[in-house]
Parts: sequence; C-alpha cells; structure tokens
Amino acid sequence: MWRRLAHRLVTPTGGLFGAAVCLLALAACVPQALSPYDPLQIQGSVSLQAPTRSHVLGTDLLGKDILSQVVYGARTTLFVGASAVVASLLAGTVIGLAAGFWGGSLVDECLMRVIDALQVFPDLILALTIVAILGPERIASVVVALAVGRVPAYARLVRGRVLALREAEFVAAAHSIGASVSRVLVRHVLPQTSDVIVVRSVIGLAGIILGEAALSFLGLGVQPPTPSWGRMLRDGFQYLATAPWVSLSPGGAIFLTVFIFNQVGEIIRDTLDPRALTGRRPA
Amino acid sequence: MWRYVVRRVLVLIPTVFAVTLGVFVLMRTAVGGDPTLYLMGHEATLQQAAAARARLGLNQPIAVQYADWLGRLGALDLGRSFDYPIDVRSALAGRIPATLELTVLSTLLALLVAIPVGIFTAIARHTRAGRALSAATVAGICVPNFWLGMLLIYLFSVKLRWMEHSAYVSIGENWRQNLVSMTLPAVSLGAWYAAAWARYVRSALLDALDGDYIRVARAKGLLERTVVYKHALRNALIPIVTIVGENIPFMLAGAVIVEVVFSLPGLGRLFSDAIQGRDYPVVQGIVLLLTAVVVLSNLTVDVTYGVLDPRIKYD
Repeated sequence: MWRRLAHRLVTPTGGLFGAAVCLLALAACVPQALSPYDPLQIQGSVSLQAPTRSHVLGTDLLGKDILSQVVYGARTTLFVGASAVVASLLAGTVIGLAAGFWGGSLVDECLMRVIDALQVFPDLILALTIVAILGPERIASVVVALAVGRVPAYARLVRGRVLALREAEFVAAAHSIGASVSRVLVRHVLPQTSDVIVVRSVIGLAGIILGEAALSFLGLGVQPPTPSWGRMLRDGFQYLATAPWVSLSPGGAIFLTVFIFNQVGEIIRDTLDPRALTGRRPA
Repeated sequence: MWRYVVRRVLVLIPTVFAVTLGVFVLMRTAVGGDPTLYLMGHEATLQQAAAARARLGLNQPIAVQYADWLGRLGALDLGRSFDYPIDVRSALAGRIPATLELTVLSTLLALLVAIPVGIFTAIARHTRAGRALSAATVAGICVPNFWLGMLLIYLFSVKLRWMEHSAYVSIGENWRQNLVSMTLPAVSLGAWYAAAWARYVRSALLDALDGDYIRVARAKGLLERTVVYKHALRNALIPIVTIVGENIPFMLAGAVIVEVVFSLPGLGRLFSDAIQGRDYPVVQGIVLLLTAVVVLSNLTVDVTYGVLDPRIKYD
C-alpha cells in the first residue's frame, strides 16, 4: 500500500499536494520560520492597514500582522484537527473492533445503539452542544466536541471490516495456536483495516478543520489570545466594508487547507481502490 | 409498508427520548453549566443565586426535573426560556419560518444547480468545460459557508450595492422583499450542497451508464439522448433522493452559522444564543425538534426509496 502511495506522490499532482502538506506542517511546527512578526504584537500606528510590502496581508484593528496570525493559526487548526482525528480514531476503532468481533451479541447491540444515537445529530449541532456542556475555555473541550461526531464513522467502518474478517482462515489459525482475543484483534485484524482508516482520517481532517473554524466563528471554539482562523473571520466580519483583507485571508487559508486535505485523501483513496488500479475511473 | 413505518416509528420514539435525556443530564451536570452565572453575572451573592436556582427549578434532583419536563411535554409545553420572558414553544414557533424557508430555498437552489451540472460533468467529462466544471464542484465542497456568506455580502452589498438594504423581512409582510433578503443566505447555505450533490449525480450517472441495460439500449439503436435521460438518469437519480433526505438535518445545522452571518431570526441563531447563555429549556426544545426532524427525514427517505425503486421490499 505505502509503495503504491509513494509512486503516486512522485507524479506532478501528487508532488504538488505533498509539498502543500509539508508547507502546512512546517507552519504548524515552526511558525516563527514563516511569520514575519509576532502574531500578538499590537501596533496601533498601523491599525486596519491594507496589504503593503511590510504587511503582505495587511493588519487588523489592533495593528496585528494578518500573515503572522494566519501562519500561527495553522498551528492551532492542525493541532485541534489532528488531535480530534486521533481521539475519534482511537475511540471508533475500539468500539468497532469490539462490536465487530462480538457481532450479533449483546455487546454489539449496545455499542451500535450508542453509535446510532450519536449519528442522529449533525456534527456541528453535536459539537455546539458538547462545547456548551464542557465550556469553551479549554482547547481540550473543542477537541472532544469535534471528535465525538466522528466516532460513529470509524466505528462502523472498522466493525464492517472486522465482521468480514472474523471468519477468515488466518483469524481461525491465530485462535488455533492459542492467541488471545486482544492479540488476534490488534495483531491480525486491525492491520487489515488500516487502508480504510487512513483514507477516512485524511478526509475527516478536512471536515474537522471546517468544524473548528465554524465553532471559532461562533465564539465557541479556540479562545483568545491563541490565533485561530475562525475567530479571525469573526473579528474581521465587523470591518468587512472598510477592511475586507482581515477576513479574506483566514477564509482563504481555511479553503486551501480543506482543499489540500480533501485532494490528498482522494489521491490515497484512488491509490488504494482496486477499481482505480484496474483503470476504471474513480467515482 | 405501513407495518414497516409503524415499527420504525415505535423504534424511533425511545431514540428521541434517549437523546433528550442525554442532553438534559449532561447540560445540568456540566462544569460551569450553571445558568444563574449567565443570568445574574458574577456580582450575584450566593443567596441570590440560590433563589434564582429555586425559581427556575434547578435545585430539584435531575430525575425530578426530567420527569417534570416529560410530564409537561404531553401538553406540548416545553417550559419557559431562562433568558427571555417567553415560553419555549412560542420562541421556537417564531423562529421556525425563517429556518424552514432558508432550508427549502437552499435545497431547491442546490438541486437546480446540482442536477444539470452533474449531468453535464458526466456526459462532457472529456471536454475542457466538463473538466473545469468538475473541478469547480471539487473546490465548492471546500468553501466554508460562513466565509462564502461574507464574500457575497462584500460583493453584492458593499461593492456592487445591489443588496444594501436586505435586512430580513418575513414572507407575510412583503414576499418580494423577503425573497431579496433570503437570496444571499440561500446561496451561502446551498452552494456546498450544490457542489456535493453535483458530484453524486455525476458519479451515479457514470455508474448507471456502465450498466448492461444501457449497452442493450444502445444496441437497440436508441438515440443517445434517450439512453442518457430516459434510462440512465432515472436510475442514477434514485440515490440522490437518499442523499438529499440525509442532508436536510445537516442543512439545518449549517443554517445555525448562516443565520448568524446574515442576522436572520431563525432557529439556528436561537440555538447558538441559547447555548452561549446556558438557556436549558430552549436548548432542550431545539434538540427535541431537531432529533424529530432527523429521524422523520430518515424514515421519509427510506419510504420514498421504496416507492421509487420497486425492487425494494419492506419486511
């Protein structure tokens, strides 16, 4: 799988999106290398200044450099997004493994009813309700709020794959040599689900980035002074008529990041999809 | 089929109540979830806060509060808002028209765009125009609806000055003005769905065109137009019914943020305000309403699917 993916990434399109992901990762890991100013540095003399050479994307009401805030915002967005993906992946995988392995039993029935109840809600409504319950003051609340809505997707995906695999010969062989249930699940069944999980995680990350921006736009996401694209949009909305650059740049950053992760997800899916490999067009 | 519908409704009722119970308990046990803090501010003394909790019934055990809420629900009484001097049912009733109109307009707009674009991008997939439009739909699903709303306001209200005075007017007051005020919000909310549904239509049509029955239709010498529109499209549109039905609750969720951007007096804005102000009765009422909408739309989709595709049997 990884070899096929590496081959795909050396094509011009794959390389372009690979480079874009590296740039985002760089902005998230070492934002000071890309940002010309401290994102929290207040400069009253350049309040709401249009883009110039010294401030490429302009400044906000307090004279803070927009480019620096966008770069540091990438760190927040990717940290929240990646944490939410990992949290939902772990919870969903455990639930899916248990429900699938004991498929048809009371354990499966109970777990899937909980998943059904979670799936009743659209992600944003669920996230808003959870943030209201936990309080938006801590970044962990935002991560949990965004993660919970994604758990059902992983749980169903893993459960379906496990149900199909549990009667496989290699699973029976592992049982016959005395392997424990947890060993069979973790060492033999789980690796077989990695391809679908990788695709779901990358595309899911794009959705979570949109969700985090929406929560921050409503004032319930990442709280000040941590830079956040959604909150920059919210702040810039007040000056839309006089200083549109304040909201244009963070919105563009959200759009581009979501686009990049969606495309990378599709590239991975096409690479792993046997239909794509046999030359049939991807859906 | 009716037996199936009744059985589904009977299964759904406990789901609805399980969701409301979950939200009820969690909101009342939440850290920092005391609404008296929001109602009275931090200056309130302990005695004043205790008196406010007693007045709102929050000093009762949670089980008693939930039983009380359920008891009143029988008479369609959802309680009174903590923040506004109004009962929740009236608050919801006053906000439903704007949200309903926004959702209906956005759905219609999305369908009007998605179906022709989906067909075109499938049929003309090897042409430049087809590829360009297909790329536009890929980009369309990446645009946050609140940012699109801001861009539309900037373009049409600030730059072009076409919609300078487009504050919300209810449909009963002036339907023309109402339509003007709802255009940009409907485009903001509907754009994502137009792009996503167009991709579904394209994908479903391409799959349908691969079918054996299409090969037979072509072998019989039918016109390509007849093959595409009469045979392939009819089958391709069946999954779209499911997608549209499944997306309606998500559209209601999207309305939360679009209503905030355009200052529309809808359910979404009420929900956002109620959550920030810990207005439990309003949050609980909206959650109940949304859950009912979600489960009913899912049920409607299942039934409609069976009507459109006679091969589906209800046991």
